[in-house]
Amino acid sequence: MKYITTTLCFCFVFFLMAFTLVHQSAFKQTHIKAFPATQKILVKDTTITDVEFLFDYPDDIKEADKKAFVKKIKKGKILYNINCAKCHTTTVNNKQVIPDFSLPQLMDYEIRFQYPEHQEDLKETNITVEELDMIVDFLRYKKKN
Amino acid sequence: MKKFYVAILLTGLIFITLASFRHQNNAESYSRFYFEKLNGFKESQAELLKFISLCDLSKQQDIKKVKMQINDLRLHLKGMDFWLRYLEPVMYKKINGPLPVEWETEVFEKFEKPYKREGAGVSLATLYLDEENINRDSLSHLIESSLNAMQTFAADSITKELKNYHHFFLANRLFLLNLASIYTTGFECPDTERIVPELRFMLKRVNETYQVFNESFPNTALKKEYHLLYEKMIDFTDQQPIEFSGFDHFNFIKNYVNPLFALNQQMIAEYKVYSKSYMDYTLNKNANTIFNKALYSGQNTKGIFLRVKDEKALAEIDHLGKLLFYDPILSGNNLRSCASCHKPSEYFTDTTLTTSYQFNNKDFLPRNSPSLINSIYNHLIMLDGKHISLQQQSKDVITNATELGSEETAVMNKIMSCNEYKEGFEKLLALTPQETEITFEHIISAITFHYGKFSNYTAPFDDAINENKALPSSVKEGFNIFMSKAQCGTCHFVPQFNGVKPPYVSSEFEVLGVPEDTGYKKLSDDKGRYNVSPSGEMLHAFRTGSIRNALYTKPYMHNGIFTTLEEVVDFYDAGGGVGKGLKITNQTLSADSLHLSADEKIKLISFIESLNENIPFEEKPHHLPTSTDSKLINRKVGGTY
Repeated sequence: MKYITTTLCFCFVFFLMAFTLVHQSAFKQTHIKAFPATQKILVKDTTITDVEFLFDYPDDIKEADKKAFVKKIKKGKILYNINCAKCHTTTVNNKQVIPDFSLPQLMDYEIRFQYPEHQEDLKETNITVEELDMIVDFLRYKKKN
Repeated sequence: MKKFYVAILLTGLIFITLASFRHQNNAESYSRFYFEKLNGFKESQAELLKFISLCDLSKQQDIKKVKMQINDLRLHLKGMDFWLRYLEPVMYKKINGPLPVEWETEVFEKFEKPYKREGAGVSLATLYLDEENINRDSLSHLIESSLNAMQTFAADSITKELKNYHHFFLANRLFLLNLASIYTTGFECPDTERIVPELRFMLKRVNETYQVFNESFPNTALKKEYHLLYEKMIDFTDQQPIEFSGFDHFNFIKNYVNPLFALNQQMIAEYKVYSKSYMDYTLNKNANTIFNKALYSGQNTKGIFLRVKDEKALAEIDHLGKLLFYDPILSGNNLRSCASCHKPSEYFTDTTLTTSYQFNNKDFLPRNSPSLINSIYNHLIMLDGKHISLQQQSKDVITNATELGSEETAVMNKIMSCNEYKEGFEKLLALTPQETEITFEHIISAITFHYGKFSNYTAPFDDAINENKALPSSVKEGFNIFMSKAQCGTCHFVPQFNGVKPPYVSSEFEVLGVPEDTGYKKLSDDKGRYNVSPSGEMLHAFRTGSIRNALYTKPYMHNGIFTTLEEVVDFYDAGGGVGKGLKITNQTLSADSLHLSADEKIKLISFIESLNENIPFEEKPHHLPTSTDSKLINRKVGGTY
């Protein structure tokens, strides 16, 4: 009986491994995460210029364009809250945390269809080209967590 | 009791093992089928290259043999087109590009700048063989480029898609849309005698793909109903005359392609098919007919109000938009409105002038005022495609010195001086929480939302396809001529009959050789798309417009040079500007005569008239909002010129 149990255990482990290997690709196909782990962007010269959130200016921004930039990313944050927060914002220690996204994840129009969840949510009938641009800039230049 | 547990455990293990291997084998057989086709196509290309290197291209006999081999190669391609065109559309141009150099098509144009791509492959090789002094290297290059492109289609990043069922239904959707608008029109088949034979071959090869897919993915197989109808379509096509001009496009689309499309859409919904490709980006999962006006989305008419769903709020936006459309307050001199050039009573165009007046009310604009109806089904706006949204276009017109001659701040101040506008937009402000005050964007969005609604209506031709309503036989014959002998369908694509072809992410631009005058003394000097994308190929190119409502939207062409549909048909029949004797090196329209008979022209125009939409136009407003500014008190509804 002991031998049978041992053999069965081996069989079970063996089949479990085989099953996992065989189905690995299938799992990947059906359990795609909205966004995988992000890479933190290095932020230089972060300044508090707005009461609502911390952000950084683009390296090459001209002084004259700063006001418009701030206005743009403020709108970006509001639009993020309307369109994206329900899936992406998490609560940690009773605080709302907007995740950091890597630059490749914020790739322009490809965001709209790279992830199955975005196919409907990020259609142009839900977010305009200009609005998506504002959201991307907000996420790109907000202070990283 | 122990034995019982052991038995359960063993049964479970056997079940898991069988399930695992069954899954693996099936997915593999589908992939193997793909690779068999891919390798067969590659071998045929290699053989053709070898033959080209050995033959004498100065002899007609050898050229004929090369042509025959290319024809065989085209059949190989037809067996694979189902996958290739969907899986990697840009690389596909190397295998079957319709033009040697392209700047526009297949570019996801709202987001990518036009860039130069060189086409290659079987269609261009066929065309090249008709030229004088064939160069061996040039011919080989067209096939070598195609052969090299095949590597992409064998790459893991592409073939991993074959391991799940999702791509299949999306590729099939594209295949069906192309059956309606590309494969049957000769768009990329230079030898018109081969269109029907290639179509027959292709339908049978795709049926084989269907069978292999069903065996590989039994849980998400094509429905029996689909198979039965598809086989009927094969029979129908086999019974059709071999001559391209005799093919019954109307019944092919109505009785087979369109119902198959509907079934495929049902399966996309039922199997929860998802896409990660821009090829599906604009297509509507809920459209169950190709002739649903919502088949694909081109423009967002709501602008900044795009998330507003409340009917009452939408009615208010529409009301304000209508008032603004007729209000000369948008112009610098308070005398011109949108309705001055886009008259709602004339299908939102101006049928009385060749080109509209400039702001100075003396000179004329260089281009004909286009109808706003169905402009929402374009990705690029204006005849040169310089804007990516209706809102951008509206802003440009208002601030353009030769059109409405105004500027943003002045317009905002004037509008806010009218209580009806001010209060109306203030109520709507809460619907756009990202904005703290009323902006130019709100004003523009109300206007585009108002006129955009007139594009949602169908024509008798749509109703005949969608609802089986009666259509005169002359119209059906006219449609068949449109799709075959007259070659209209190769630029005015089903279903919008504009330049947006499947997968409906970009517009086509064409050089037609439109003259400056009807005596054909000179080519129109408007550079068209060249002003936006300065390349030799784009000189005098214009975005292909829709022919819907054409009867009511004269005059025609970018400069309004023709006043009747008969003149337009005659222009195309003669081979455009080149056919009429003008010297144009980059004309994309064939310079050969179409040899249309008088009866064929009449039927063609009957079909075009069946695309007149049943639009419930509205009366103009009785009054405009009162302003506190005394200079704005006497504004006239619609403006004065």
